[in-house]
This record gives sequence, structure tokens and C-alpha cells, in this order.
Amino acid sequence: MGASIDYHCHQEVAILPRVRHLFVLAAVATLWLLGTDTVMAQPASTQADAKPPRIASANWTTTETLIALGVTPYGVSDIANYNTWVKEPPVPPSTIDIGLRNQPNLELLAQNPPDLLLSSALFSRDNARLERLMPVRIVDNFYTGQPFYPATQAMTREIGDLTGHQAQAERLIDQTDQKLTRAAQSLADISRPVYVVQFSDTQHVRVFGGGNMVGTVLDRTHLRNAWTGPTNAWGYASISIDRLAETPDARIVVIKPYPRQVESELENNQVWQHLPAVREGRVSEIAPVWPYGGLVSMQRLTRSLVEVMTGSAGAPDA
Amino acid sequence: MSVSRGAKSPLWLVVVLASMALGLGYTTLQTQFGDLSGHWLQALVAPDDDSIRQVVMHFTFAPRLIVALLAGAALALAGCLMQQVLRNPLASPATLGVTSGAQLALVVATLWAPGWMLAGREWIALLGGIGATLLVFALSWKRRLAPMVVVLSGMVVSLYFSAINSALLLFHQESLSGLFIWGSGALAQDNWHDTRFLILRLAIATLAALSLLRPLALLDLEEDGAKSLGISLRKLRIAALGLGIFITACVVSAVGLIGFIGLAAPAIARLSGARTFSQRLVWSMLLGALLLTVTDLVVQQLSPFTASLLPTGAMTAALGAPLLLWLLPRLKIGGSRPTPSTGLKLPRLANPARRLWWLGLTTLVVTGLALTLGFMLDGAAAQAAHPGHGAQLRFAGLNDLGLIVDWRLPRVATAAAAGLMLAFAGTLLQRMTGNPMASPEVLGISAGVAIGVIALMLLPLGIAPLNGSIMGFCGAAVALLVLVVSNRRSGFAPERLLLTGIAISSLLDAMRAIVLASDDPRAQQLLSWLGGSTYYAGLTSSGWIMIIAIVLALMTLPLERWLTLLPLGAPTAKALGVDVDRSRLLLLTLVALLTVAATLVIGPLSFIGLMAPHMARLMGFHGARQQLIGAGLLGMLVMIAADWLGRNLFFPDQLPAGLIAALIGGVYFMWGLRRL
Repeated sequence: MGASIDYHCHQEVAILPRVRHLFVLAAVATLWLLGTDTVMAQPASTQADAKPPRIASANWTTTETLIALGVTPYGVSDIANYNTWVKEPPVPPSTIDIGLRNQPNLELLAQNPPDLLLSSALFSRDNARLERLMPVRIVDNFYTGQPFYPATQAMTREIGDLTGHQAQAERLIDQTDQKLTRAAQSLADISRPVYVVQFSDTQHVRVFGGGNMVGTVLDRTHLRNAWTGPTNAWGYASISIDRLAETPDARIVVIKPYPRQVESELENNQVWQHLPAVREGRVSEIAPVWPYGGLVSMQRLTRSLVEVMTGSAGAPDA
Repeated sequence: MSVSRGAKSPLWLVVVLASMALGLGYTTLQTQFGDLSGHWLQALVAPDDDSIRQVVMHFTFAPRLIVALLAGAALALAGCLMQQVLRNPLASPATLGVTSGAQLALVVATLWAPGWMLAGREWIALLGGIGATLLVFALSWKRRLAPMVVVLSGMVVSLYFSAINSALLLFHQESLSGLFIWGSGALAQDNWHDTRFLILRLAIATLAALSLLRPLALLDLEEDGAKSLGISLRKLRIAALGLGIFITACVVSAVGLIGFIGLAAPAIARLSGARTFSQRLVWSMLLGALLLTVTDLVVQQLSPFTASLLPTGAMTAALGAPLLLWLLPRLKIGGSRPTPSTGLKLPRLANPARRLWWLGLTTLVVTGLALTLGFMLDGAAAQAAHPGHGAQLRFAGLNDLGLIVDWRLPRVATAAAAGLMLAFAGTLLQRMTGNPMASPEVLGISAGVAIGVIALMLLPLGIAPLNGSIMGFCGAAVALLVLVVSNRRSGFAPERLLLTGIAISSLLDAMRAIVLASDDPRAQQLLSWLGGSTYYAGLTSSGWIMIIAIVLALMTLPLERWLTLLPLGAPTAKALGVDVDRSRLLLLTLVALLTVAATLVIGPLSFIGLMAPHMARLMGFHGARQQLIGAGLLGMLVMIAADWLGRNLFFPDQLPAGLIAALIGGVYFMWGLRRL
């Protein structure tokens, strides 16, 4: 429309340059105004059929919980990285990928809007805009003002309510509670404090404190967290590894995976090699688990911790 | 250049810094290793293996101190050599692309060839640094490695590589988080390997530099003078630059990116009175070593109080930038001599107006394509055929008008408006300063906006977009204020203005690196905004930004007389009746407004502002008005195309438009540079 108008102008008008670019500007402005008019005329997106609600999830924690409750989401974010970092439960094959976590693909969602988008407080800075496509609900276990464990339970219940899977939600909550209690019993004899860390590079680790999943699991199983220093909003601190000597008798639990070359470089790291825990064989590795996850990740972390703490006393060295 | 009063020498500065280093070093020992006092010497020389505290001191504190001294001196040496060879106070390892080349090589190796990393990351960094430099050489070879062309190529290569870096980091944040820390120059040590590595290389490089001392000193003469003394300029430049790159790559591979020292130390040495090249070399190395060490000690003092890492390299920039800004008004570069692009043979068009119309038409066609072509869901059957997201690339029909208007038009319009404004800002700057390296980012305005927005992200003030614009405006206003205050006395001389801008931009770099290294999950969001995403554009906001762009563009067009006369140099322009100071101030204000508006919606991307005016010139638009319009159209064209690619290339994942613009624009630009 606008294009053709402008094209004709250009054919007829071989006039002063000043007038010419005014035409270009006018054409651009017209195009834009045409655009706004159509918006006004455009009815809100329609949704008709009342089958089971189609849910999309922007955050891995809600994705994990949805799938654990037996819901097959319509779409979830960044499936490839979910498979690397969260792993379980697996994403059903019919679920589509809706793009990166902080920027769900709106062109895609607009073509067949789900009945509900679950988003995290961290990722959704423009909910008003998303609300034009579909109802958006911020479901999160951080930023709630509550301690992490009740917040995660509340989040699970909320997802159960929203999807009509209340019973499954209660079952997951009870199951997690029981597993934590059982883990606490089998770990009752252990008084040694523990650092739970993830390597960032050879010299730095994320060490987990309270207020997150790791802190919760340690708390509920009555393990003593060796890290008592300051942490950020997600309950961890990035520190250089020599600070792991501040509690000399602690055990160090490393959440895998190691960043690529770190495992081999640790052999030359004199500070690491001289850490009391390393010299005395008190370092254990556990399988990859999403440390900011929901109840499923929490169960997996608990299981791994119990395994390395109670299994062989001198667990595999790094 | 005459010495103003007495025998000024950087000695006082070195003494001040050295006593700071001693004081801070002692304090650090007291606070961190107070429990060992009395055993300090033993811990340093022969630690007791059973005392972890002594081991920590022996393998972290001591090598870190020495590595800081060595790395600082090495970078200063590299910067000094580069500045001398290119006779340009803006040259440094970072502006020549060496550091981003090294980083890119490491990121690529980490992702796709982890086996190579076993051979040693330093060698991969070295390869990357050399590769970047060879590219820079290839781009500037035809111009016989002329200083300005080399630096221009270096900045382009640098921008290009960091764009690729950012794209990779966006997709692999979790796997690359360690590289963020390295990328921001954390100096932490865990053995003596880096110290031995650096001490040997620095010794070799210093000896080599000393052997080049005499011929390099002759470069202080004008180029023709040096030539007539029988020096092979090309060989000399290659040797000295090669040396600078070698030592930079060594530092980068050992301790990460510490860019600012290489730029700042030689500049500070020159400003505080070192005149001859050998004086500059010696004082720069001392200053560089001490600057980095003092910064690192301050960082170590602060680190027990924070949950996140404070990377020393980035902190160096944060502390060094204000220092440079303070020193700038005291800078004595030889007058406001314009650096016209001598010897550039560009095509002159018989009929540029016709080409402008073609360009306009192309822009319209591309806009139409960008609006209509995209990934569409095709029902259940197609969904089965396209697992993953169930959509395929095709033109939208009339039924999809709502989709186009609601979700595509705002992004296309925002991209176009931002492209237009940045192109105008870049054209204004380049004509005003007569410097082909000028662009909104070099001026530091977009950095100011970004600093404001990052500050907002980190402070718990709520995340309303309104706050973002207010903070962005504050940042831009402060940047502008700094620019004006530190340049008014010199009448906004081009080189000084650019150097001020670079100092401000380096502050942004520092903040960005600190945020990324702080291991904060919000880093992803920040990275995407910094890359220039149109994701958050809505109809209202894109309408406003369009109106702002058009109004500002209309305000700019009548200024063509100034834009024609200013590139001729201040004296000529003055003689022709231009009030140089007033016109520069006004144009600067216009540039600031254009940049603020563009940056707020699309992040501090700079490539369009640098590239569009150049592309316009390469296409033959020489007159001020033609260049403005040509650049504006090209800016829109490239941004719209970039936005489309960003939305569809990795559907449903989306890349920021600014990033893609840098990626496509860079290739064209390098090709154009080669033809210069």
C-alpha cells in the first residue's frame, strides 16, 4: 500500500531534493499510521475450544514441575539446554520449543496462543504486553518473601491448581517430604560440615549457602553447611577456591559437570591439591542437577547427597 | 610541543603509586594473612605443606602480586609500541583487535575443540591474536599500513569479533561462565606457572623493544623525515607491532583481558611529562605495572565483603577511566589539526540522486519482506513434519495481518528508527571531527546511557521501562557533561573529544565485565539488551521512536553547511564564517539526542553509526546532505535486515538485531576497507 504510493510519487516528481525526502518521510509516516489503524480494528486473539488447558512455560523450574505432575506442556523454553542442565523429567516429544528463557518467541506464541504462560519473576519484564496474547502467571520459588522450601511447595501447589492436577501436586510434595525425612535419618550420624560447589573455572567455584535448593536440602537433612559467608539473591557466592580452606575439616561435594578443561587443570592447581579435603580424600562428585530447580531436582540432589555421604567413605577423588 | 614549566616528569606519579602499592600490600597481608605474621617470609619462600594458610599465601598472594606487576608492565610496553608505531594515542591492544581475537579463539576452542585447550590456552590465545592482527594487516596492506587505516581496521575487527563472542555467549551461557571470569581479567593465581611464563616473555620482549629503540624514536619525526633517514617504515612497523601483539597475547592467555592499561599507561606517561620515546617506554612500563598492582590490591581488599567476584581487569578500567579523564584537559596533542582522509580515491557519482532513490526503493522492498516473510504454524500435519517448533518459513497471508501489525511491525519500525538515528549520529560525528573512527559509541554517549540502565538493573528499584529511560537519560547527560566540561577549553578538538569518549566507554566495558563475571543469572538479559534487541518493542513505543527519529532527522538536514565546512578544519571553517565552537556544541547536542533515543530502544550498539556513513561514502555520496540521507537509508536497511535475520535465523530462539547488524555490516565494511 504505502510502497506503491511512494513509488508513483517518485516516478512523477523529479523535483527539488528538499521536497523529495519529505515525500520519503511522509511515506514512512503513512505506513506507520496505517499500521496503528489496523491495530485498533484488530479484535483480540480468539480462543474457542475447551479441551485440557494448553500451558506454556518460560522457566525451567516450572517446566520441570509441570512435567512431573503429568502435564504435557504445549511449549517450553530452550529444550536443548534443559536437557543438558536439568535433565529430568524429560520433555515430552509433542511439546514445542518456544525460544530462549528470557524471550519467549511472541511471533510463534501469537499464532496459536496457549491458555496460560507460566513465567518467572526473573524473565518477564513486560507482562502487560504478553497479557495481550494469553494470560500470564508468574510462578516462582524465588522472590516470594517466603523461605525457599515452603515457597517451592507453594509453587508446586499453585501449578497443580492451575492445571487441575492438585492430587499429583500433593503427592509430589508428600513424596519429597518423606524422602527428605528418610535422608535425614540415614545422614543422622554425619556431623562433618559440607561445602556444595559448582566449578566456574579452575580457580573459582559457586558455593551454595542458604535460601536455595542446596541450602534447603542441607537444612532438612540436618547437614551442616560449611559456607557461612555472604550469598547473592539466589543463595550462592562466587569465590576463589582457597576460601574452601576456611573450614578445614569440611567435605567438598562438587556438582558436575565440570567446565570443559577444568578437571585436567585441577591437577596443577597447587591450592586445590593442598586443600585439607583434597589431601584427605573428602571430595565427592555428584551427577548434574539444576540447583535452582523445583521438588524433582530437590529429590535428585537429596538422593545424590545420601549416596556420596553414606556410600564409600572415601568417595572418588576429583 | 614545548615543555610548559620546569622539568616535569612522571616520577612523582610513580612515587605516589608505589607508596600506595606498598601501603595496600601491607594492609592486605595484615587482613588476609594476619594469622601468619611472623611467618610471612617462610610462607613466601618455603611454605609448610601442612599449613593450608601458608600454602595459600605461597601459591596465591605472592604470584598474584608479581603477575600483576608483570602484566601491567607488559601491556604498557605493548601499548607504548603500538602508539609509537601508529603515531596515534588511541592505539592499544584492545583497539587493534588483539584482545578480542584472543578471546574469540578461546571461546571457539572451548566449545568445539576442547582437545586443543589441553595443548595450552595461551597458544590458542596467541593464534587468535595473531589471526586478528593478520586480518587487520590484510585490510590495511594496500594503504601501506597507514596509521589511521590500521587503527580503523583494528577497531572494526575488534567489534566484529566481540559481536561473534556475544552471540556465542548468548547461546552457551552456562558452559562458558568460566570464560566470563577470565574475560574480565581476574588475576587469581594458584601456582607459579603464570609468573614464570610471563617473566621470561616480558624479558625477551623488553630486550627486543630496546633493540628497536633508536629507529622507533625517529618515528617522532614526521613520516617523510623518517623515510628520508633511510628507515624501512613497513618493516619497522611490522616488527614493532608484532612484538606488541606477542606480549599482549602472552598476558591475555595468562591472566585474561586487561585492556585499559595498554591505552592508559603510555598516555599518562606522555601527559605527565615523558617526552622522548625511551622515556615514555620506561615510565609507561613502571606506571602500567603499578596501576595494575594498586588496582588489584584494592580489589583484594574489597573481595571479602561481596558475594560476587570483582575482576581486576575490569576494575582497572573503572579506576583508570576517571584518571584519564582528569588528565585529558592537561593533554598537549599538536593543536586541532584535522586528519582528513588523504589519498582516499572514492568513486564520484554522475547522478547520486538517482542512486539515493534506488536505495530508498530497496529499503521499502526489504521492509515489506521483513514484515511478511516469517515462520508460520501450519496446523497439526505440518507440526508433525517439523518437530521442535512446528512452524515453517513462508509468506504471511491477509489473515495474518494481526500478527504482522502486532508483533512484527513494532520490531521492524524500531529497528529502522534506531538505524536511521545511529547513521545520522555517526555521519555528524565523522564529518564534524574529520575522523573516520568517530561513532556514537566512541563518543561514549551510548555507553553513558547503558551505564545508567545497568545501574538500574543492579539497584532494586523495580523494573518499569519508565525508570529505564530516566536512568538512561541521566547516564547520557552525565556523559555529555563530562564531554563538554573536559573539552570546552580546547574548543572540542577532535582527538581530545574521541579520547574522552573512549574513557567513558571503557567504564561501560568495566561494568559489563563486572556484571558478567559476577555470575548473575540476569547477565543473560543484560547481554541481550547490550546486543541491541528489538524484542521489547511495542506499537506505541515504536511509534514514538519513529516520530523522534523523523523530527531529529529533519532538524539535522538543514545543518549541511556546517557539515560541509567543518571537515576542512577549524581555521578554514572559521575563515568561511562558521562559529566553530558554537556549531560543534550544537552538533554534539544533536548527536547526543540521536544516540540517547536509539540506545534506549536498541542498546548501545555502535556498528551502524560507524558503518552507515562509511558505506554511504563508499557508494559515492560525498555531499553532506547526500551522505546523511544515504547513510540514514543504509542504516535503516541494514537494521531491518538484521532484525529479520535475528528473528528467523535460529527460530524460535532469537538473536539481537544489533549483533546481527554488526555481523553482516562488518563483512561489507571490511570488504570496503580493503578497496580503500
